[in-house]
Amino acid sequence: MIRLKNIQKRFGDLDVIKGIDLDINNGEVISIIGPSGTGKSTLLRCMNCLEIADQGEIQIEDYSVNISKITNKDKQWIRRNTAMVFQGFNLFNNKTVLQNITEGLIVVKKMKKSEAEDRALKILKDVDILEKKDNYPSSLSGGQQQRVAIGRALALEPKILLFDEPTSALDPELVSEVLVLMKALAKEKRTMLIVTHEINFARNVSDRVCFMDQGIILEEGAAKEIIDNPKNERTKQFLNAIRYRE
Amino acid sequence: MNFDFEFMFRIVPIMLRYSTVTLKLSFLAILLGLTISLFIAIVITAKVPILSKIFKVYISFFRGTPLMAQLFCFYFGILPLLSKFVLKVSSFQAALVILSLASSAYMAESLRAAISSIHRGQMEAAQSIGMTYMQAMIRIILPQAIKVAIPTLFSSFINIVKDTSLVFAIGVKEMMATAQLEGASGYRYLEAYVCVLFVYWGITSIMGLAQKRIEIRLGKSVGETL
Repeated sequence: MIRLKNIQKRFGDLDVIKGIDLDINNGEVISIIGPSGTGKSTLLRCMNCLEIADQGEIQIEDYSVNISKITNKDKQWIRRNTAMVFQGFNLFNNKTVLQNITEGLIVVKKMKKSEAEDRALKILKDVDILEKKDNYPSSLSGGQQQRVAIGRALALEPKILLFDEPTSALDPELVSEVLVLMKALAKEKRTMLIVTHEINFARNVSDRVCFMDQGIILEEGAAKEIIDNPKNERTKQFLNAIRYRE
Repeated sequence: MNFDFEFMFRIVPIMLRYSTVTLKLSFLAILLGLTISLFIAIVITAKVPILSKIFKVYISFFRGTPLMAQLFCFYFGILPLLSKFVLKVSSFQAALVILSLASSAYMAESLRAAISSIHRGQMEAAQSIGMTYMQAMIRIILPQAIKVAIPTLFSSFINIVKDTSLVFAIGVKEMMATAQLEGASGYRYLEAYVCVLFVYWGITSIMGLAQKRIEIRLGKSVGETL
């Protein structure tokens, strides 16, 4: 169980997140949709402590952190128990595919090298990219890189996987291979929080959808309910605009 | 007056003998300078309070003043003042200190620029999987940054070798001093200086070859094909 309480974040005099509460049950898949610049990515980054929120509370299982009193130890703990999949993949360019996975296991989880490699090979098989294990990221397609990045996140067995627009930087024809993998993860009952513009994916794969606008969650509920029958005017407007595009 | 080739070739072995002083001084200055510069570059990149401000002034000072003036000030000005407290410092040691400090200022700038050229996402990804800042720096950022910095670092290394020719001014008997001495002894200045120029050129050419090999090797470490 992951619980966010009144998360707030400002950059200078710009209020990016204006108080967000969200409970995420274990095994639940939640998509966050909404217009650009409404703090969706910032919320994920605050959950991973890449940004430190100004106030609020993050609770993961029994570990609860009051952000205004966060210590380095708390940050480290949160980072080790959450994993981020970035829009731009951000694989380590100086490491092979295999090393990208083992790096965290060896350095962070203090696993033996041979043990880490066994684990990594298994994960690479799961994300279906085993044949590229000795390649460097620069020789992989965007879709392949993102699958490795998902593998890197999975390897650390986080309590939650955070996806920050994982398909937005991909060529249209490479989007589906990543979505297929994410769907499989959802089926395995992994806890996932996904910021996405793939409305159909959000509708069909997630349990719940949150519509975020201007730093707050305007509407949330069962995925199909929100996307097929939004109640809030702003949500309707947003979804209509997207459907029109499609 | 003809160019005396025989004289020039005769003093080559003497030059080579004293080139060991040049090489030793250069090698140690590169090693020390690089170590200091790595520390400075990380401190400035991490924006460590106070210390990073101090190092910015340090860089500005050593890059903004002539090496010869630094050498003289240190050896003839500061060291005599300190002679009551410290052991006797040889001119070689004094030259090593100044060469290391001065070159570290240039190399710190190369490294800092190279580190900042590495995409922010690399650090974020490393931290997101739970690495500390220093772990991410050492394992992910620096290996990529070094590759970017190699050409400018080698310029600094080559400058160090060339700058060792100035230290004869505080009495270090290295190649340049020997050339002057030999030239004076036979009134064959041109031959002596041409000879010493070629030895310097030889040393720096070898360094240039080393640079190429290192670049190829580091290229392979990020999967570049040739």
